[in-house]
Amino acid sequence: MKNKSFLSRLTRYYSWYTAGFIGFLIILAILENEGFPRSWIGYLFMFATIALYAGIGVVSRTSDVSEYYVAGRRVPGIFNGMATAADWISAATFISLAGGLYLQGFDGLAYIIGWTGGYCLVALMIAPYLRKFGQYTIPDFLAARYSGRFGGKYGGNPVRILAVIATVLISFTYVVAQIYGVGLITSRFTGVDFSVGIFLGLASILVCSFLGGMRAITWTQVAQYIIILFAYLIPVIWLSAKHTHNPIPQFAYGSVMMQLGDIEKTLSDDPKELEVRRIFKERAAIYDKRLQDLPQSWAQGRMEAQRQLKILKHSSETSLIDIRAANRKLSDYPKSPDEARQRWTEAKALNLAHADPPTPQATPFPGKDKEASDIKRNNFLAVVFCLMLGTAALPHVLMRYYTTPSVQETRKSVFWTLFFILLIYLTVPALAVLVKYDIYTSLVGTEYSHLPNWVSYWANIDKTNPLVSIIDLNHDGIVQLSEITLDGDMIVLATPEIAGLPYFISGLVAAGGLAAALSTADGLLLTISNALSHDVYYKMIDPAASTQKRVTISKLLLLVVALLAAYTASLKPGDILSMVGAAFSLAGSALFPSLIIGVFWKRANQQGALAAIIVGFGTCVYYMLHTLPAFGGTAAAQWFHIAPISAGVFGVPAGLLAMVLVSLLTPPPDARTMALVDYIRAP
Amino acid sequence: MPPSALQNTAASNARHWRRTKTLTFSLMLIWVLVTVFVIFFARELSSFTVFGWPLSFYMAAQGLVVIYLIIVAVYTWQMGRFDRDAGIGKTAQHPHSPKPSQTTSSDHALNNEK
Repeated sequence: MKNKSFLSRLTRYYSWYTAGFIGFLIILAILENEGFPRSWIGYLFMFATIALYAGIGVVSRTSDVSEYYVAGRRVPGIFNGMATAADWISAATFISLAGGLYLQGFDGLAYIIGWTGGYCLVALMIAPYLRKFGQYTIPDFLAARYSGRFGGKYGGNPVRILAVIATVLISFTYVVAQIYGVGLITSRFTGVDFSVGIFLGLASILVCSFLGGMRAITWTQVAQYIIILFAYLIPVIWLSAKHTHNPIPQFAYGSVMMQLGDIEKTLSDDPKELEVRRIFKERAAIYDKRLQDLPQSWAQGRMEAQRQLKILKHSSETSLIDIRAANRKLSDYPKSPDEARQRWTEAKALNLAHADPPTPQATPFPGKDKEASDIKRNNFLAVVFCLMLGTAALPHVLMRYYTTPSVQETRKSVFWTLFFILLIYLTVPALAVLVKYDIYTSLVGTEYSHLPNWVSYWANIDKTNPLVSIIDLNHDGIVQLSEITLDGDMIVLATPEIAGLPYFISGLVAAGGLAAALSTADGLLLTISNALSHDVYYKMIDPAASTQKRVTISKLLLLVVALLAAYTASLKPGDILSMVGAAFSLAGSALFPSLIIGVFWKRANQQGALAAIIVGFGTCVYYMLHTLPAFGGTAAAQWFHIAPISAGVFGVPAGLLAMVLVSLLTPPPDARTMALVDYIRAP
Repeated sequence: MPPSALQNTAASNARHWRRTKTLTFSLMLIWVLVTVFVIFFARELSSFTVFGWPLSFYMAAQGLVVIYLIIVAVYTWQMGRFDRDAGIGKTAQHPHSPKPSQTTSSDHALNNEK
């Protein structure tokens, strides 16, 4: 059997690779012990892994269409599962997910449920049928399924155009978030500037996908998955062994959670904590008063700041530092009453949040009263819904299931994907709980003169929006829990330092985060360029193009899209989790109805699909624009108190409804389409 | 192929699709019910504990996820069985190989394969 020997050869290669990687870790551990400088360990991890990915890209270079688009359709299920898992585990999962759980407690679990449960939909209702159909892209499938009665060969093009637009928009939003993550990691661990970091990471993405398309990406992603797995598990296993004497974190952290619950209870009525929280409440009240007195309070505040600066400048005793601080305060002051209103509202909310007792880790939907708690529950459900349906409609994941040798292998492949994702996802809550325990027991209650090194290191990376800030508010010289502010995005990256692990583990975690971001970015860029080159150029502009030309066009487009995405990311458009969340809502609303119904309801026709994509996408975008403050919307415009990130809750049903109504009002699809549906359903 | 064989394929395909639908929709029903139940009643469930975890936290963090994996595993295993019953696996190394009853559609799906 040809497939069997291919599988065993692959297994042998990747076993050697894994052994080599472990050897690399051991060498770095020894080097660190011998006093090798820390910054060099960081560089070695970054450049060794990037060189490795580029190397795989060079080895797997190809200009064959089938190799370039679908890796020759011979990737065994288990390896495709590993590659899809790497494709799936993005910067959001690796960097932000555990941080979200740390900060939000139970509510953060919505992401874990949503991002795994969606695979049931993929496995049962989409992936096998796509593989049976056996083309190259998602728009391909939709165009063939919803081809029209008129227009002959190009009958599916209206649906194809809309599907391409949706694919490109969704993937672009997503890829910008990944490249942003790449910039974040490279700049932190190698000390280069953020925008330089982005282009460094981009270079390695390009070498890989530019030369070998899906073939190179698949084999790189398998390699990346192995690094991601090591990078995520080693620190957690270490922490787990340290706190529970049981090295299997998935089983061990239950006992830590019980202790954490007790600590939370003590801290919530500790007198010193109450004192700090009262200070926050007072600060919030000051902002509240200023907000009520607008616009006079804004003018007064500015005059006051100017007066302070004048006094300082004229006094002979003040130091330059004081003057500089006063100067900065004046230049930071809101430029207009409107800006003041916005910034003070935020400051008030932030202070009020600090004035609350710590969020209990295990309590579902904590809220002041039943109504507040119900709203949280509904939002939890809404997030889960959007993430699941978004998962089932993300083009870059679905595309991977074209690469297996058969439909049966695709089914197995989805199982392996979920399995490899679980290895990471079951560890995420353990990491959050163990780090929280570490901070609550070893950082809370220490003296300010003995703060650990990582605090100042992470606080100094970004001075204007510090990732960590610990300020002695009540001036007692002891750290109180309420005085600690942590950014969710630093928790995983800083875990080795928080737990006091050796530095090479920090380097490993950074390399893992980079692998997660790069693997996802690779898959997304290829999806965008394939949609443009295959669906727009080959299927619509020049159907006579030679295969060589198609691949070349695809490579060129990849380059352009990558540079565009890097440029957008360098503008720092927003935080990773919210960008990724938006991409999921959009994907679910635009593509989910037509994908699912296309297989399970024969009567659905072209007009219905067009209506579904337009209405679903439109509803989703409308809701986001009207509820996101960043786009000029207000929270008051929310329907049923559903947060804008879950706009898909309205987009998906709207799309489904449009599909059913319009299909029933228009004539049924032609015999050719019916036959296609029969074909993809047949064993 | 003689006409009777054609009819056999069509009948076997119809039976395969019927079984696939039943399996798919039962598993999806379990998927929806379990998910909604755990989330909707999370507050009530948190008073129970398993192995030291409050039940609702355990289910949301690990239990549901493992159930999802089991659903996919059962589906994959059962579909493998249905496929064998329908004659896939004995001869068909190439699931693309056009079947006589669906020439139009398989052309459709194949016109870009090399």
